Amino acid sequence: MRIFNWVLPMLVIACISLLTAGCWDYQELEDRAIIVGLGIDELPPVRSNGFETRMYQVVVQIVEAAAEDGGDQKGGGFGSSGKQSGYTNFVIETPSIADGIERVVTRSDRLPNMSHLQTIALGEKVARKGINELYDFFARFPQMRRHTEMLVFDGPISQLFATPSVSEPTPALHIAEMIDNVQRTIVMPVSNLGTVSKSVRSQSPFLLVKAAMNENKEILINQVAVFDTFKMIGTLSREQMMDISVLQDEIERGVLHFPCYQGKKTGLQIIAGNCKIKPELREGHPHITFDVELEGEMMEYQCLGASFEKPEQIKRLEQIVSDMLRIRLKRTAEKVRNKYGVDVLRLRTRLKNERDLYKELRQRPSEFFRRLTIDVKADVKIRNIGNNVQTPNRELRPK
Amino acid sequence: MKGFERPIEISPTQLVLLVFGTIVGVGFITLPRGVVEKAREDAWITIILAGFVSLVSLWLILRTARIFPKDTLVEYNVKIFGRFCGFLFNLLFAEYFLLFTVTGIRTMAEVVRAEMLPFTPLEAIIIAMLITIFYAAWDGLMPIVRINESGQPITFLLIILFFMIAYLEADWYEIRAPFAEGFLRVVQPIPDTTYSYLGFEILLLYYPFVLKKEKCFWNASTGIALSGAFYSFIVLGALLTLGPDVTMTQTYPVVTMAKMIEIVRQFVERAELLLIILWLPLAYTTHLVVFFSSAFTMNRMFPRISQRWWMGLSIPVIYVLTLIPDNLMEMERWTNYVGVIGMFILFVYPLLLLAGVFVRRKLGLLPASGIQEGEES
Repeated sequence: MRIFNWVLPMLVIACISLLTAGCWDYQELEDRAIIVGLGIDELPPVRSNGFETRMYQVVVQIVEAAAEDGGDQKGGGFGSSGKQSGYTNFVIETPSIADGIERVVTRSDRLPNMSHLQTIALGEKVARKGINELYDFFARFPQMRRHTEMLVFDGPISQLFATPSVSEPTPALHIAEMIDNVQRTIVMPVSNLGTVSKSVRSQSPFLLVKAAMNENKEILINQVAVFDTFKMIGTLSREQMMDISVLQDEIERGVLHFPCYQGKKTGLQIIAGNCKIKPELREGHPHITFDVELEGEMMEYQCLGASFEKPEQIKRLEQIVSDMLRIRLKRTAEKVRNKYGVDVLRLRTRLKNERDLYKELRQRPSEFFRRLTIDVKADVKIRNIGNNVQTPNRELRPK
Repeated sequence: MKGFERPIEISPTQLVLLVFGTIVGVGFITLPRGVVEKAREDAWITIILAGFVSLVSLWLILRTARIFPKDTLVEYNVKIFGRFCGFLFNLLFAEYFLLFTVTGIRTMAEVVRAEMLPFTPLEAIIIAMLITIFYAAWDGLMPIVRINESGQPITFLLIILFFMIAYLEADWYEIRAPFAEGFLRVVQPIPDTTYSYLGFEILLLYYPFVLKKEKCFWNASTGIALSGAFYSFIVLGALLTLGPDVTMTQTYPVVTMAKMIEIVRQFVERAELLLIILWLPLAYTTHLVVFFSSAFTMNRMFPRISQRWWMGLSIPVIYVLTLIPDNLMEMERWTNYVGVIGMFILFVYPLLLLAGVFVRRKLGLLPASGIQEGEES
C-alpha cells in the first residue's frame, strides 16, 4: 500500500493541474460578444410547404469593452461599420431568436454571451401579434437574467438601439436605467423578464413600459402596454398607471396631482402607503373594496390665497384630496375592468385566501370581471407642508 | 494503515453536523419543483411534516442500532438474517450508497455545467469532483466528520445570508393561510418529500462510533430539524420570489430564485454563481459521506481488501455510471429509484431488523434484550 503514499498525491496534482489550471472553457473578454440589448420586431411572414412562418428582425447590441474603458474604439453603429461608439449593433432577419443570436458568430469574430443582457425591446407589431414564440427562449436559456428590463417601443427598433445618451455610451444600458428609474416611482410597478415569466405561468396579464421617440429624437416613456395571453391588448396612460400602481399596492415614491381650482394643480409627493383589499360576495356578485392609505408631503400648491397654519386647514385639504383620489381610483379601476376584462389589478395573487372568489377568478376570469363591482376608500395624510405655510395672496395673480 | 489506527469517535456536535451535512446536498436545488407542484402554497408545511416522519424513521433506526451498540449494520445483518441474506442486505447497502453518489455527482455536474461552465465537458467536471471526494475520503471517517464540523456552520450561515437577500424580492401575497386547499393536499406529497431527508441512515453504519449514545437520538434529530428548517426556508423563499406557478416549471428553481438577486444594478448581476459556490461544499459533504459509506460497507464485508482499494475501485464504476443517463430527466428517474431504495431503508428495513431480532430472541439465537442493551455501558 506504500505505493499510494506518492502515487496518489502525484495523480491528484496532475489531474487538478490538468483540469483547473487553464480553466477548460476560458475565453478572453475580447473574444466574447457581450450582448446588452436585444430588439425584436415583426417582419412579413414567409410561406413554405404550406406553412406560414413568422419572421423577426432581431437587433443585437454588443458592448465594446475597449471603447467603454476609454481605450481604442472600434466598430460601432450598425454592423461592423459606422461611427465609433461603445457598441455594435447587428441586424438579423430570422424566424428564431436562438438562430438570430447564433448568427452573430457568422458576422463577428466573437462568441455571443447573453448573461449581461439588460434590455429586451419589442416592436409594437410583434407585441400586438404575440410574443408566444419569443417567450420560451427567454424563459429557457440559462444565461437569461430575471432582472432584464422589457419594453414595447413605438417605432423602428433599430432606431431605439442607436439613440445616443449623455450618461451611457451604450443605448441598451441607457434604456435599462430609464426603465429601472421609472419603476422606482409610483408611475410603474416592477416589470421585467422575471415578472413577465411569473404572469405568463399564472395566466395573468402583465404590463410593460411603452416608449416612443419624440420630435427631438429623445426616448420618452409615457405609456404602459397591457398584455394578456402573450398579446398586447391595449395601453394605459401615465396617470392611469399611477392609479393602477396604487390599487395593486405597489406604492413607491412619486407625485400625485389633483386640481385645486381653475385647472391649477396641487402636487403631493407620496412618502408611503398601502392598499388593502376587502373581498366579499355581495348578492352573489364578487365585490372588492380597495382601502387606500397614503402619506405624503406637499410639493406644489399652485392656487393662491391658501393657508396651512392651522391643523384644521390641513385636515380639510386631506379630506378634499382623499375624496378626489377615491373618485379617481374608482373611475380608473372601473375603466380598466370594462375595457380589458382581465386581471390588471393583480387580484389573482391577492385573493388567494378567499377560496370561493379565488376559484371563480381562476376558472372563469372573464365572467368574474364582468360581474365584479368595485368600491374604493381613500385616506390621505399630509405629513409635511414644506417651507411655506401660506401661498401668495390672490391679488398678486397676473391680470 | 496510517490514519486508521486513530480512535473513531463522533462527538454530539460532530453528529449534528454530520447528519445535516449528509442530508443537505444536491437535492435542495430541485426540491421546490416537486413539492410545490403537489402542495402548491402549502409546500413549506409539507417539508416540515416530512421532517417529523423522518424522526420516526430515525427512532426505528436507533432502536435497532442500540441492540448492537458495538456492531455496524454489516455485522448485525449477518447476526439477524444469517450469512446469505445478511450478505445480500449488505450488498444492497453498499450499492445504495454507490448509486446515491452516482446520482448526486451527475446532478451536481449538470448544474455546474448549465449555470457556470457551459463549454466544459461533463466528463471533466465529474472527474474533478471524483478526485476531490476520493482525496477527502482517503484517511477515513474522522477527516470526513471534521470536514463537516469545520465547514458546515460557515457554509450554512453564508447560504442563509445569501437567500435572505432573495427574500428582499419576496411577494408575500404569494402564500396563503395554511391548509386552505384541505389537509390531504399537504399530506399527500409527504412520501416523495421524505426522499430529501435521506442521509441519516448512515447511522446504521456509524452508530458504534458515536460518543454519548444516550443522546444520539436528540443530536441526530437536531441535524434533521436543521435540515428541515433549511429546506422549509428555501421552499418558502422560492414560493415568495417566484410564485408557485413558476417554481414548478423550473428545472432548478433554487438557481432561478438566486437569479432574482441583483445587488446594485450592473454590479453583482449573476448571483447564481455565488449560490453555486456556496452550494458546492454542501453537495460535496453529502457525496463524500455516501461515497465513503459504500467503501466502508464493502470493506466490512470483505476485510481483506482495504477501504482505500474499495474507494479506488469504485471511482471508475461511479464515473461510468454517472455518464450512462442521457440527460437530466433520465438522471432524475435514477434518483427516484435511489429514493425508493432509501425509503425502504428508512422505514421497512428497521422494522425487518426489529422483527428479525424478536424472532431470533424467541428462538434463543440472540441474547435477551437486557443483556444486549447492557453492553452499551
